[in-house]
Amino acid sequence: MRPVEIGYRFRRTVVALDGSVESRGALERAAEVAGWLETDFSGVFFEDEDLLALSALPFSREVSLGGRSRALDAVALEGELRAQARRARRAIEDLARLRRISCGFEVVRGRLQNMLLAQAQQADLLMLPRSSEPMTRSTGLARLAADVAASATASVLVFDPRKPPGPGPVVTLVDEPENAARTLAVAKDLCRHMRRPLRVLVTAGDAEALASNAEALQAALTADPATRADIRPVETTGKDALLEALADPSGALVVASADTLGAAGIVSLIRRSRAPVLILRARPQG
Amino acid sequence: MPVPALSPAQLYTVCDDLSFETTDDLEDLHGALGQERALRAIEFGTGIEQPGYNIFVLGPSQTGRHALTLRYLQARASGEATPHDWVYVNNFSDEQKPVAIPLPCGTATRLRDRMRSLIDDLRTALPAMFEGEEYTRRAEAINDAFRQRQEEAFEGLQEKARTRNVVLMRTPMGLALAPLKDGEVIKPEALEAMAEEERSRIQSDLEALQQELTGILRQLPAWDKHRRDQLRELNREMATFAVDHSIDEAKAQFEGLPDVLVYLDAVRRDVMENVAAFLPRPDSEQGAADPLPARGAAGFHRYDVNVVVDNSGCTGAPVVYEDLPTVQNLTGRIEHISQMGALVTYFGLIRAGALHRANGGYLVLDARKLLSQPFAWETLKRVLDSGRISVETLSQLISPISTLSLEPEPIPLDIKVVLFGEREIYYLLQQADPEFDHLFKIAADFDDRFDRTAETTRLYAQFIATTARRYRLRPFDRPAVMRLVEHAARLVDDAERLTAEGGRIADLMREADHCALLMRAAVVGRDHVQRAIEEREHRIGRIRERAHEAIQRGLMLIDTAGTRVGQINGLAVSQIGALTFGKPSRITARARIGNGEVVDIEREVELGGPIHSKGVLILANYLGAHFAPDRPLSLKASLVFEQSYAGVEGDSASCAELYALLSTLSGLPIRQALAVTGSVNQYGEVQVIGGVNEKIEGFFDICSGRGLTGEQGVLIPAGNVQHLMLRQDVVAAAGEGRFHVYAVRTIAQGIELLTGVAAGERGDDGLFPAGTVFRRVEDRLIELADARRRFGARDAAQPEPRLP
Repeated sequence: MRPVEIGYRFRRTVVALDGSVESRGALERAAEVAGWLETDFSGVFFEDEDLLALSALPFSREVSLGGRSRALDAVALEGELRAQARRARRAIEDLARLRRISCGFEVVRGRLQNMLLAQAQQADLLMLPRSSEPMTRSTGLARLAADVAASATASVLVFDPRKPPGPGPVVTLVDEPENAARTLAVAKDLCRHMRRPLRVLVTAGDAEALASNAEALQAALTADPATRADIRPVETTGKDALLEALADPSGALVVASADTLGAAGIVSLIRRSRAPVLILRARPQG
Repeated sequence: MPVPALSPAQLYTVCDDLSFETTDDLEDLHGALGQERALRAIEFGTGIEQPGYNIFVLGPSQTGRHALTLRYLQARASGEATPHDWVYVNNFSDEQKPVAIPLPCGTATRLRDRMRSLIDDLRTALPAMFEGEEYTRRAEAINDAFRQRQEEAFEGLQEKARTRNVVLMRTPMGLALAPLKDGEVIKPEALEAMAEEERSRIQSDLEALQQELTGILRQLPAWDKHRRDQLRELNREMATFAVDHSIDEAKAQFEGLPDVLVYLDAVRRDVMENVAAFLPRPDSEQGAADPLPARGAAGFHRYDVNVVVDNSGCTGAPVVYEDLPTVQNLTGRIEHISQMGALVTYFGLIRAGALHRANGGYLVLDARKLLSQPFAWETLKRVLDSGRISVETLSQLISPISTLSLEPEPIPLDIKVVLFGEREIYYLLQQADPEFDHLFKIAADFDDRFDRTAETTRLYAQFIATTARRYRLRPFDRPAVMRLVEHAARLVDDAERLTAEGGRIADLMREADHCALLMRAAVVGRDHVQRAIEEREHRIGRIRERAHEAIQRGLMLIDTAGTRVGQINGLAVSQIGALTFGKPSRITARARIGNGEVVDIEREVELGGPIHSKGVLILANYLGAHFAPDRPLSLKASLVFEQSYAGVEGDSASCAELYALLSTLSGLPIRQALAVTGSVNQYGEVQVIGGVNEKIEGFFDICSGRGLTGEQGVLIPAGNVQHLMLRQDVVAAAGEGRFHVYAVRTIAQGIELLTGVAAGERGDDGLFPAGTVFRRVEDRLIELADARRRFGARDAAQPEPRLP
């Protein structure tokens, strides 16, 4: 079953880029996922207004990752950002040629969170690179990934480009039939591309609904012999147990509906999970 | 007393002392015919266990020297100890220098297989161990501790920053700390508007935090190194159990082989240092074959055991014949694999050469082939001299550029090399190569002939029977075998010897068998052998026929009837390839007054060789000593081979030349129906010559073509009678009195046959009897001497008078 067959398709995918090391690897992975989901994608290079403001302060300094300190020069920073943007554009163009896909690229300047949310409004899917390194995970795009994923209007994929997907399954969470169909379709499609098994966590508001959801799910999956799924009913929602189950350390990808998780659940899941997390949101068909 | 013609029995020694029906009745011949000397030398050479006692087997190629020697070597080797196997393994401390390990016969493949299973086991056991709960938990603990340490450091820093309203930001080159106001980085103008005290506080806070950040970042590498050390130690600890268990098991199987135990310990250390190689690789690296790097062995190839010599299939010592003795085929080679356009190698690509395979036994080589391969002879000598086999590439020997390659550990050499070659090669090497005698002290000289006795004839029949069976020929009946034996004598031009070149007889047997096939005979008979001989003669006889045709057509002037003064038929032998044939050649002599000089015209025009000239000088001295010894020899004689345009060599015509000269001096004509061969010494004795059969047959063919008159014949030296094995038609004609062969011992006997006049012996008065050949010669010489004396009194400057 393909996403398009159930009316779910990402038309515009945006990958967020900045001057970080993670961004450099993000393009390749983003292009790969976009290929799986049969969507075009654009790169948006963010120039952080706060960073530019910092460079204008008289005593601002930057410390290299090797521990050397030097003055942060506004002109040099501007130049370096432009150079990074150029490199990102070239990388996107190379990828477009290599993968024969249509790609766009733009540079925007502003406060990061505002810009990200604005981009999320224009896109179906926002891909956000993050870092799991203690040193950098609280900086730049990585710092905002969880919050943006929780508050964006588009679907969001948060991933660490420097870490390959784990060897385990694609884990997904489903509850209501409407959400389940969309989430399952995307999860199954990604399973097939990633050559990973599917683990479905089924949840509901009460035991009766849980049983009903699980039964319906079982029937839907049995009808599709191409997908082998491990179905696991989970009785509580929004709890630690559910997030723990989703954030399987060996998992390859987590796919969940924003409606099912809720904002707090999204933030918590992204902070816990080492695997990439895809938060799905319904968009009006156009 | 005139010399009688030889009887048919003297012209052809028949073989008549065999008694069997066909060769099926005869047993195989297991020994060698007439090669006792060579075989004793081989036995002696193989028996001496000292360096340099290698063997050079010399002699004609068709003597069976190869088969006989190989048979002897194989028989001897089968009773000797089977030598070690040899393997090359990785040198873990210097991969460019692989280590050679000797192993008891049959153990090499066992070690190779054991190492394969050991590595396979480790490839299963180690990942299982490293994927196990214990390892994962402990590794995570180490990583978590590192992460925790980082987090604590950064969290602490960020917490401090938060309390001071400062945020950590990414910059293109690293990190920076930014002061906040209302959740945004303070703008320069806002900072400017602040009180000096506030600005100083912010600056001070930032500097303190930056200092702390710098300290953390500088500590990170040390923390990470500590983490890696801990992981390495954990890997070692986890691997030790599995590796020790496997290695100890393997060592138990090779107890008593110290080299193997040392190697296995080296493997243990290397596995421990490279445990990561046994663990699953990331997806991106999987699927590709285990590559060889540009240098050294990598991956699991480094644990290969390269069996270069496996004697497990041998019983006794090896006997190896190398048909193509190139340097690489002798000393082995190092192969390469093309990888990404580059040629790479490792110890597993070392290949054994013939020296490796024959080590502990015998290596048999053809000298001519060896010498024709670039650097092969020099390499063999160097290896024999050093007593070690080093794998050398030709490029190492000749290339001016030294490329990085392997230097396998040399293997000790214990070998006996047996070289085969023609005598010329043996003597050439002996003369030109000072190391040759030092390295090949034993010469096994295979003879080309042996005595023809009743016993050797019987053995020869057995040899024929063996050959017939070996080549699956029809059986040969007794007359056929007898004809083959007779032909074996003819091949060496000696009725009392047989050829040892069995290959030539075997060829004739195959051809006779084919003749029998054409004639639908079940058994090869004498006729088939005879036809095979004739067919062969016919196949190669074109040049002989052209030469005889020139005589029959009168282009070459040869008389076979009548008489002529000073003219005689000499006999020459020509050899072109496999064809040897005789033909007559007219020799003439003229004489006049002179100073005792006999001019060899062939020599004057440089068509005569030194031996021919020697013969002419001898006859001149015979003349001077035998006739009028008290007077100076006062003639000037000239001798010439008429219509001879090629060179003349040998002294077999010296008799004929002397007869012609005696005829000239005596004025007695020579019978042109006769031809002469033989050399003469200073006493007038006729000496043996070569090719007597071909010479007689050559003159017979000319006479036969013109019609045999009963007057024709050939004078040969009496010493050559033992060599006569003439063609059947010649023997038949002689038996019918239509052709004659005379065996003469002296010039006197010969001149009597040629002139029909008695030669004469000196009487008591010191003179030859009147009317004899020698009297007439002496009278003429005295006459010339007197004339010369008379002329000598006159002006020496005047020209000498011509004789009437």
